[in-house]
Amino acid sequence: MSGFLDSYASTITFMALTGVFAYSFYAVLMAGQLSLAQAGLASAAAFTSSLVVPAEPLFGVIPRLVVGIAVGMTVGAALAFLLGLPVMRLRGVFLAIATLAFGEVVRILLINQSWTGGAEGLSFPKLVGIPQAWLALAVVAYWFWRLGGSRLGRALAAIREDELAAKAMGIDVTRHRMMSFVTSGAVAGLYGVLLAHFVRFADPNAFGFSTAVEGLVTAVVGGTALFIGPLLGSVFLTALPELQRAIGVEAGWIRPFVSGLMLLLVILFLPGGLAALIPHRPGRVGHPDALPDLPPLPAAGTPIASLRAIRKDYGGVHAVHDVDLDIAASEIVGLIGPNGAGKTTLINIVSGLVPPTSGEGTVVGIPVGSGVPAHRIALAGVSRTFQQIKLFDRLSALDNVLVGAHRVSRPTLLRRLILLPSARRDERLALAQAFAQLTRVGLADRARQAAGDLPYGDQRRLEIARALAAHPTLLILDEPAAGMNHVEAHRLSVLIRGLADDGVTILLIEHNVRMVLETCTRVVVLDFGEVIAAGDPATVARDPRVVEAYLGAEDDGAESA
Amino acid sequence: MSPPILSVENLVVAYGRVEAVRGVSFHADAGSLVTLVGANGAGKTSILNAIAGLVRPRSGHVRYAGKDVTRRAAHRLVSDGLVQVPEGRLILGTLTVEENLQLGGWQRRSTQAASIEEMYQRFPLLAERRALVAGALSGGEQQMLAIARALVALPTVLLMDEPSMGLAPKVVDEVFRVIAQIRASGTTVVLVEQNARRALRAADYGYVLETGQVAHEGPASELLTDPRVVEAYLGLE
Repeated sequence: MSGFLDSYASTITFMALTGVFAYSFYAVLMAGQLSLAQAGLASAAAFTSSLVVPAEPLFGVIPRLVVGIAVGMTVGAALAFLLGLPVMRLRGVFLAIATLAFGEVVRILLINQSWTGGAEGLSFPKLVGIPQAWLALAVVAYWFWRLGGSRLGRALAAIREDELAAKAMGIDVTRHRMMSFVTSGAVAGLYGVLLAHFVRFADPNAFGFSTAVEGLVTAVVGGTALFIGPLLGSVFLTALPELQRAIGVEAGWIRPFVSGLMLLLVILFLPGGLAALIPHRPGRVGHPDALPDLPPLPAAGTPIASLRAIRKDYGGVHAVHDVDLDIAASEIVGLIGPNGAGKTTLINIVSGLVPPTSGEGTVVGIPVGSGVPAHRIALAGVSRTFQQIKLFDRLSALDNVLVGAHRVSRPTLLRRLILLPSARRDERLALAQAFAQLTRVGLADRARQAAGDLPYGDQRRLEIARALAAHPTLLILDEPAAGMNHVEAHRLSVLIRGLADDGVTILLIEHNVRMVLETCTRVVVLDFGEVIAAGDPATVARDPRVVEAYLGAEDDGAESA
Repeated sequence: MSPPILSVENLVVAYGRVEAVRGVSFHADAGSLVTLVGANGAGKTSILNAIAGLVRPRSGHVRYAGKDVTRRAAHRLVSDGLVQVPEGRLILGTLTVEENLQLGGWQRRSTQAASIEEMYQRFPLLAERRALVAGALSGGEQQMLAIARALVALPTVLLMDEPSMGLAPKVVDEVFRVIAQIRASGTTVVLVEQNARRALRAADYGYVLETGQVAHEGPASELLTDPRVVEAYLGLE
C-alpha cells in the first residue's frame, strides 16, 4: 500500500487539488453563474500567502499551512466581493468575459510586482502532501453536501432555474448571487495556497486562462447539480492518463487523444455530468406529522392593498391610466379585460416587479413605488403565479414548493454543518408545509416528478402550490385556468374559494369568464389601462361597456347553439 | 372514399417511464376539422408533437398523404405540408412581425412574398404592425401572428395546439372565425383545445382523450350532447 502511495503520491495529491479547484466553479455554477475569475483569485491568494506564512508555527501551535490557508481564503473571498460589486449585474457570457478579464488583470499585475518574483516566480515551502490535500477536499465537499439540502442551497438552485420566480418567492437574488461568488473566491483561494505549497514553486503565468478552463471542465464533467460532481470530475480527469500508462498505452499523442475522447463522450451523453450516473435516491417524503406554526392572516375586511391614481407609461403608451384599486382581506377580486388592457402591468406594480410612473398607495403596508425590491414585498406576504409559467423546471415538484416555503422556513445551513437535530426538524417542517400545499392542489402523487415534465395544467397548479407555501396574505393568480377545461377550471374555482375561506386574499386575472363569475366576490374590468366597470360579478357581466370591450357577442359561458 | 390525409395508429409516447400517450389511433379526412379534447395530461399536446416530429414516439405509426412519416424530421414535415401552430404561440418576440412571417415561409421561397401579402390582407392588424417586434403585440395579436406564420408555410394539414389559450372571450371568437376560414379554404385542421365546447362546435369529428387513450369518439355534434362527455369535460351550462 505504501509503495502504491509513494509511486502515485503526486497524482493522488493533484487529484484532490483539482477537486478543490473544481468546487470553486461548482459554487457559482450551482447558482447559474459562469465565472472564470477563479484562476486569478487563486493566484492572488497564493502569492499573498507567501508574505504571511511564518517560518515556525504561529504562537508555537498554529501550523504554518493553516495561517496560509486562512489568509488565502480571506484574500480570495475579499477580492471576489470587490469584483462582484460591479459585475454582479451581468449574466451569462458577459459575466464570463468580465471575470476572465479580471483574471488577466491579476496575472499582469502580479507579474510586474517584485514581491511575487515576477515572471521568474517564487519558491514556497513544501507544506502540502496527500493528507493535507485530501483533508481540504473532504472539508470543501462536506460543505457543499450540507449546503445542497439546506434552505440556502434550494434558494441558489431556484436562482439558477429562474431569477424572477426566485425573487417572487422572497429570495434576495443579488445577495445570494454575491454569496455564491464570495464562496467561490474563498475556495479558489484555498486551492491557490494548497497548490503553491505542494509544487513548491509558482509564477503568475501558471494561473492563466487555461487553468480556469481546466477547472471549469472538471466541474462540468463531474456534474454541477450534485455536490459529488467536482470530486468525480477530478478523479476521472486526473486518473485517466495514469490508467492509460498503467495498462501500457504509449506516451505521445495517444494519451491526450483518449482523454479528449472520453471527455467528449461524457459531455455528449451525460449532460448532467458523471454525477448523473449515481442512482437517484428518492428522498423521503415523510408524512407531514406537524405543520409549522404560521402567523394568523389578517381578519376579513382588513385593508390589504389600496392604490390611488396609479399610472404606468411605456414610452408614451399608457399601459395603466389612473387606476384606483382597493382590496380587503378574504376578498376574491377578479381582474378582467381584453389582452393588452394592462392587467399584467397592474399586478406587476402590486407585486413590486415594476414601479408605477405616478400614483400612490400601499400593498400589505408597504408604500407602492418606494423602491422596495420585489423580494421584500414577497417576504411581507405577497405571493404570485405567472401568466407565462415560471417554474424551476429541473427541480422536482416538491422542491419547487419547498422554495416557495422560503418565507416561512428558517435557514438551516449552519446547523446542518454541525449536524444539529434541530436543522432536521426545521427541514421536516418545511417539507410538511410543502407537501400539504401539493396535496391542497391535488399534486401529491407528482411530488417527485421534475416540474418541467408535468403537463401544462399541472404546471399551473404547481405554481399555485408554490405560491401558497409562502403562507401569503395576498395571493395573485395570473390566468391560473389557462390550459384547463371547464371541469378542471371548476375544481380550481372551488380551491380558490376554499383559500379565501381560510383567510387568504386573492387577486385573480382570468379569461375564463364563467370561472371568474363563479369564483370572485368582486370584479374589476380594465380596458386600455382604465377601469371601465367594477362591482359584483353578475352586474359587471351585464354591463354593456364590458360586453362591448371584452365579452363580445358570443360569451364563452352562454350556450348559443 | 379516398384514404384519410392523416392517420395515427397505436401511437405511444413516453417520457422516461411515464407514458403520456398509450396507444392512440385516429384519423382526419382531407378538408375536415378534427378535434382532440380531454383533460390536462390526457396526452393531446404529446400527440401533436409526435405527429409534427418534435418528439419521437416509442411505438406506433403516423401516416400522412399515403406515406409513413413516423420518424421523419420536423423540418421535412413542414416542407411536406404538415405544419403546427404550437401551444403558447411561441412567436419570436425579438423579431419583427414581418420577420416572423418570413421565417414561416422559410421552405416556400417562391410563394413566400405572395403568401405574406395575403396574410396582411387577411389580418390587417398585422399589416399595420409589420415593422413592430412581435413581443410588443398583445396576446390576441400574437396568436394571429402564430397562425399566419403557419399559413405562410402553405399547410395541407394544420395542427393547432390550444389556439384560444390566454385570450379574451372576444378574441377567442375571432380565433374560431379564422379557424373556420382556414377550414373553408380546404386545409385539413387538427385542433387541440381545452375549450372543448367551442372546439366541438367548430369540428366535424371529435376524439375525447383520457389518460393517454381515446375514451370516446364520434361526430362532433353527437359528442356535444353525449352525457358522458358533457359531465367529464364540458361542465354544466
